[in-house]
Amino acid sequence: MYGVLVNTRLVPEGEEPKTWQDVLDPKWSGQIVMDDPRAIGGGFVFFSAALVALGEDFLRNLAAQKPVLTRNIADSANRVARGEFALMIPFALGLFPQVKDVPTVKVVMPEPGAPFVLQGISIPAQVRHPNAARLFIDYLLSDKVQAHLAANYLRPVVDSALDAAPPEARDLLSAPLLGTSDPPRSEERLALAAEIFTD
Amino acid sequence: MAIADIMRQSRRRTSTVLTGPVLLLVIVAVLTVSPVLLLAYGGLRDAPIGAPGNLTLDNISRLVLSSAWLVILETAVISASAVIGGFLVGGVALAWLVGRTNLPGASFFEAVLTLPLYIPPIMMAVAWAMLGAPRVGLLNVVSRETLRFEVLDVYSHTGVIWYLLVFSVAFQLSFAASAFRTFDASLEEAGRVSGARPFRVLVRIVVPLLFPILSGVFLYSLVRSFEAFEGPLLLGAQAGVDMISVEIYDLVQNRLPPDYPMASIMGVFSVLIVLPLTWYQWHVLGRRSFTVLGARGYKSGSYDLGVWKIPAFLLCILATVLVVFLPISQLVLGSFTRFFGVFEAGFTLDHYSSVLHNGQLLRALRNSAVLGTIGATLALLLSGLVAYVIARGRTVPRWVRITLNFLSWLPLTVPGIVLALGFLWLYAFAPIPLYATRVGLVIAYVVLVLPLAARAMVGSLSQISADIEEAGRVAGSGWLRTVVTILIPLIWPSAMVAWILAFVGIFRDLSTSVLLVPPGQPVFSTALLELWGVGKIEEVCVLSVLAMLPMVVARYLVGRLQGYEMRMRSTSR
Repeated sequence: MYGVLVNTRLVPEGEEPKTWQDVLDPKWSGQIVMDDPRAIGGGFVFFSAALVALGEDFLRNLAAQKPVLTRNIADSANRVARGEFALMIPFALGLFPQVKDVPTVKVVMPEPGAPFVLQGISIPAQVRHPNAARLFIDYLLSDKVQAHLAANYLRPVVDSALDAAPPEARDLLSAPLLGTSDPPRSEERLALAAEIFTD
Repeated sequence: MAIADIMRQSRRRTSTVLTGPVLLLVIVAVLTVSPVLLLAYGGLRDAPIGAPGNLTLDNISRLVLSSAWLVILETAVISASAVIGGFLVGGVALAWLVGRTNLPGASFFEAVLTLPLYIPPIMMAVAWAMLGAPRVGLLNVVSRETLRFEVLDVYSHTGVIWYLLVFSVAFQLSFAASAFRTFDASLEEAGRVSGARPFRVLVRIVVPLLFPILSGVFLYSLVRSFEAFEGPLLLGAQAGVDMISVEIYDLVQNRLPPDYPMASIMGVFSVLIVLPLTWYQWHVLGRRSFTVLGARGYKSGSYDLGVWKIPAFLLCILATVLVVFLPISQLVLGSFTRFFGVFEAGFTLDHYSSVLHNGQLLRALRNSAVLGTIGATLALLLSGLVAYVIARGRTVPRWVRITLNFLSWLPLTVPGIVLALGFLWLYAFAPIPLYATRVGLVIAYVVLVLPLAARAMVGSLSQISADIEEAGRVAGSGWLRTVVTILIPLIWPSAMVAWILAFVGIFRDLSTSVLLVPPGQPVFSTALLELWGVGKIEEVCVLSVLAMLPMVVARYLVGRLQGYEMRMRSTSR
């Protein structure tokens, strides 16, 4: 799931973006570091979800904020923590353990929802041990594994695990979902992203 | 009659003696030229090598018509600005001060200012990325307090130029200082005796006579900046600064599918652009060893600075702080910070313990050491043979010696990433399984450091008269025995210097390693890059600090060996 990483020293309490439209406020111009949406990755997932849910105009206005585009997402989180940028969009919750203990950052999940990546599991039609495969999937869906995912800020698919997660994780992971990428349409959307977000 | 017999005999010996050098020439030619040729072939096809396709000029027209051409231009402009700036400061001013005046602490300055040549560039790039980071970099924090503005945003064109400039200063100082030092003082004295003031002597006599060497040094530095990889990768990529080595890397690593034809043709173009510069360097620097880095003690024609000693000393202190002290301190400081840039998070030894307990990282260090040792030894053997043929092969035809000489310079023309790409393709189609192996990596390393080692060996061998060996041969010993009992005792310091430089050259390398490293077996520089990529700056600093010690030791050893050799030579004269 993706939210926004905010530097609490640069952004006073209460002024963080509460909806995705809030990031279009002129005060964020030049303050945003962005996972490059022009290549396959978190930035592109955000782009696809926002394209469908928030419209192309939202993305064009976001590009007008002159975000700094980068593919080095781990370092971007650090740079927000250091105060080089106020916001990181989008911020993968799975990265949160890296900056969790740093006093200068926090994560917000803007409304109406969070872009997400769907991790699916499938069993091929022709497989030697179908029951073993099903048993493995059952294991992956067990509370033990799902709780482990939740503790690492990855959203579990089993509600009981979500309820049992630590409070900070649960709050973030319970956010409503915005949408995800659409693989068959990736190429045309990548082209659109390249057109909207030019250097 | 007797004379005809002798001539017949010597002709026979010539033909048997010839096969060795020609075989060597073939081996060196294959190693140095085939990667680039393969790339040229790949660039002229419309599909990657191995896939069915036709020869086409499309890629060339794509390159010329697209913005890729601008990348090359941008690279040239940036590297030129950095190198010119560095030249005025480092190549001339500092080199003259350190090599030819009675500057206090001259040998110390020379030793320290050449240290960046031993430190892996990626460490320096990381250090400067931290020092000049907007808002939180140490330089900016201090300048914000004192000067009310931030002095350097390292993620910009200026930042990349600054980084390259700092390196240029170190490079050029190393080579130019020895040129200034060994310049014959009598020519200057002639000028002084005729009444010219010191500055005029410098400008009208010293610099023009040193022009060939200085221009060679300048061009060498220009080529290194043009081909620079680490700085532009870390600092330039997100600032929209496009430089050629990073662009080629990007085409191969970050495109799906990798754009091999375009990368190949860009690689070939970069080699073609640099080739005339390398040819000129070879022509001018020729047999000179450009590895005389800071020999201790020996001074000729020391110019008395008088009252200017103090400003000169301060200038050198400033240079040392900027070029060496600041980056290294930043790395040391960063290794103890809990979270770089957030000082309120405090200091800790945790990063040291996590690195020292990280088997993968320690394996990378060991990997580099092992590959460096093997590669340096092989490079020494190869360059020793090459140097022997060039400097001693009087029965070898001139064309063989000249070609061998030029081929041993050739790898300098090829940016590390282009060399790696060429070898990648070579291994993909070689009958022996070298692809994604450490053996393949070592072979590429040997080619990479060949120019360095060959220059050191040629320079050393040229200084030894052939009489000594001939005396041995006349007394009846075979070739091998002559070499072992007579030559090696004389050149072993140079050989050790060549070995150390080759080892350091391999250890520092990133652009070649990054494409050829077998998966799961990183070397030091690629491990550092990976750590940087996941944002663990503090651990990068720890690893850098750990690697710094061997580098300083290497620098020290080189200095001692060169001093020893100088004393050895002067007593034998």
